[in-house]
Amino acid sequence: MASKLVRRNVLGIFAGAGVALLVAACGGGQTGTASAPAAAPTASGNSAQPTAAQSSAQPAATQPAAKTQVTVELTAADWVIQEWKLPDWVTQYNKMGGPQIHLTQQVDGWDTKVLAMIRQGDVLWDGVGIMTPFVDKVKWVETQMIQPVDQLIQSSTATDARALAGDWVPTIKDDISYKGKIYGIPYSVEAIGQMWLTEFLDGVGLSANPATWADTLNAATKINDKYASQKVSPYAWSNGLHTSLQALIHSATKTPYTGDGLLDITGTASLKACDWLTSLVKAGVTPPHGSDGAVDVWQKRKLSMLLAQNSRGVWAQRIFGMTAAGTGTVPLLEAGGVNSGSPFWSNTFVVLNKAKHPQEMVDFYAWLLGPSNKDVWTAIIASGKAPVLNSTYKSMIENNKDYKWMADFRDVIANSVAYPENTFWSIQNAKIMPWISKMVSPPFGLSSQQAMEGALKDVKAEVAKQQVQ
Amino acid sequence: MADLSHAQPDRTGTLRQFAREYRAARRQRWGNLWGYAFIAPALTLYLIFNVWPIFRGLAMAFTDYRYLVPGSEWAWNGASNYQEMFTNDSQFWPSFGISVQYTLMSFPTNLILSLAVALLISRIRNSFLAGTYRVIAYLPVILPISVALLLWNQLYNTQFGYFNLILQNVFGVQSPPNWLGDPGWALPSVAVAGLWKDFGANTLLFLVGIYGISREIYEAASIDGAGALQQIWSITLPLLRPIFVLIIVLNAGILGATEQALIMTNGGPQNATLTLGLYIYQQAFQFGDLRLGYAAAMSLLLGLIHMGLAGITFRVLRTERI
Repeated sequence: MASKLVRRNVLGIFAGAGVALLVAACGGGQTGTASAPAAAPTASGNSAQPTAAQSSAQPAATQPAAKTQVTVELTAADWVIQEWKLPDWVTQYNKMGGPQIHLTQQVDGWDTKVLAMIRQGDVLWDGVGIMTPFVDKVKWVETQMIQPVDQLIQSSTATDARALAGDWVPTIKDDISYKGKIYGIPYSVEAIGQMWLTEFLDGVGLSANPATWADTLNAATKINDKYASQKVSPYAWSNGLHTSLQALIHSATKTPYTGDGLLDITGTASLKACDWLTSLVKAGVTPPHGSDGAVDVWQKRKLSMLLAQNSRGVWAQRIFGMTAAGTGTVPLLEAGGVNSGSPFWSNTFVVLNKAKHPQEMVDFYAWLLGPSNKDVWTAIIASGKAPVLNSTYKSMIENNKDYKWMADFRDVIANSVAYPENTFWSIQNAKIMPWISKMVSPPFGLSSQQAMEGALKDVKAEVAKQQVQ
Repeated sequence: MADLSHAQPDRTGTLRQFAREYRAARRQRWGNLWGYAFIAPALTLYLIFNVWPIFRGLAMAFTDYRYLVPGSEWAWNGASNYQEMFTNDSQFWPSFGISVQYTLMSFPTNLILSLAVALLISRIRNSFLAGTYRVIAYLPVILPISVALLLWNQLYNTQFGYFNLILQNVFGVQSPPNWLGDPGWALPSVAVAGLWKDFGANTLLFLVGIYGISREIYEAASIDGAGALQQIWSITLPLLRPIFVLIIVLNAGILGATEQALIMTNGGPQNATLTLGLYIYQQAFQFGDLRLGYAAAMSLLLGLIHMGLAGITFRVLRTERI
């Protein structure tokens, strides 16, 4: 009996300890760490000299600065972390002293967690990478998930900070702005282009990317005649509205969007684009449906031309060699014809609303992505993503034969019409793509007009249900 | 004789006895209270992460909660969501129909295949071999679903997938199907992948039931001249009724079919695989305002259908309690 009591008491003690541990684990947040503001390191590794304004603002010598270290939390998508070795740059920045950046990989559902944290007033992360403006910008601003960075850039102690805004390609600056405020710092820009595998174009006597839709169909037909027995598909497009119809509309008109912020899919340019897409399939140069596993087949060297994000050309270069693939702009409806550039987007780092260390976050971004950090820009360019600063194009791209195509894209982007500021792109992508797929599939029973009218009806029905317009 | 005039009643002893009797009575009614202390953490977590979301989802299904619209969490709108679902949503019924088709393709086949495999494994005398086959049957179940379905995407590849390579090179089929790109083939292809992923779990459940049937019944039937098929029909299947009930109830959620459509085809081609579960996901997390209230309403309807199916199953296949 006595031993039974003793055992019971021991179990009870353990149970109590377990409950106490659970309560302790669930309660309380991180204690804030504060330190005297430290100057942001420059790209050369020397601490920035305090400016006169800073010196006058520094506390008196009799008041010692706090010793606790500031840790700035940055969470980023896995592909952003891996693509251009972001952890290496974080390590380099941290070694310079000052606020320490703690980089973590984004978890699933991070955005719902962030919004809950913002409501509670205790946000774990300071910054997020990345925002894709045409999909995320309006959503993130309207839900007050992110904060503008204009003032933070102005007050940043990073050497390059104030040079940033003036150095961005103007359309890229517009892309990351909303209602007159800047909402992030971009690290690269992507646009839609037409890529090719050199051996197939060379094989039919072509040395350059076809410049027009007719030239493209012509080239694809020649490639099909020569390489069909090797099961090479001449042409395909990556499965997405922006990598198919939207890109072609941009290449055929100056006004790709309607007054109500939708892609003008029933306009003349769109109908011509639809006819052209159908003609590719009818000619047998594009597989039925147009885009089944296109990028997969491209990377297996069985697709000679691809309409997709321009980084896919670099993917092929990495696999098959620098001279094995090329990247060019989307062909135009007519040579020298009217166009509105290409759909594009800036991969942008943002600062969360109610972040604990917004200034330190922007200091890091400005150091990382400032014009003088050539090593970072080299890594970004090598990953196949185009830079966002005019000075980088001048100093690193224009005289580099391997990446000169990026300069062509900079010119296209500089003249592109931006996607309207609304939340409708995902709706259009989901509602229009099934109609395109049906239109380009045998037995081709749907005309371009019918398909686009049907698609527009679906889009408008869904858009009418949205309150945020 | 002892002078008892100043004797005090033994109150301490009475109190002790009262406490003892109270504890005994409480233990009899409530059991040992330490048990409650032990289960309290798990119960708390269950209430927070399982029960509360059910009630929150239930409440959300009657609101016009839009993630992008601040303050809309409790914007009650009565039955408007359901009115829109049934009368003003051109995609709801087609998606529901696709989900039903998927379920009819996948579930009966799953049931028959897993039962057949379980019967075959149960007839293996060598315990090592039987164990090996059980592991092989269950392996797809433990694979992460995205890995399993992306694997099938590669198998289905029109140009490089093994299926079409075999069809072309072994069977001489000139134009093998575009498994995931042809609207006619896409849904069955997705159903087959889902079937491969899930049938192992049902096989194991059937095996548990089969192993629980007494050998003597089969021996008695053999003596009476019953063949193998007769034994299966007359003995095995009736005695597996509780397992059938369990499997049907556990698999009622197949109607949503979200992951398969999302990972393999994203609803394409031409919305041929846009199941109701995927459509709910699009409404909640992709389209415009991110209409969580409307998505919750559709999910509630799915949940009620699942409950209805479970209820019908219990009613039709009810078994006597032993």
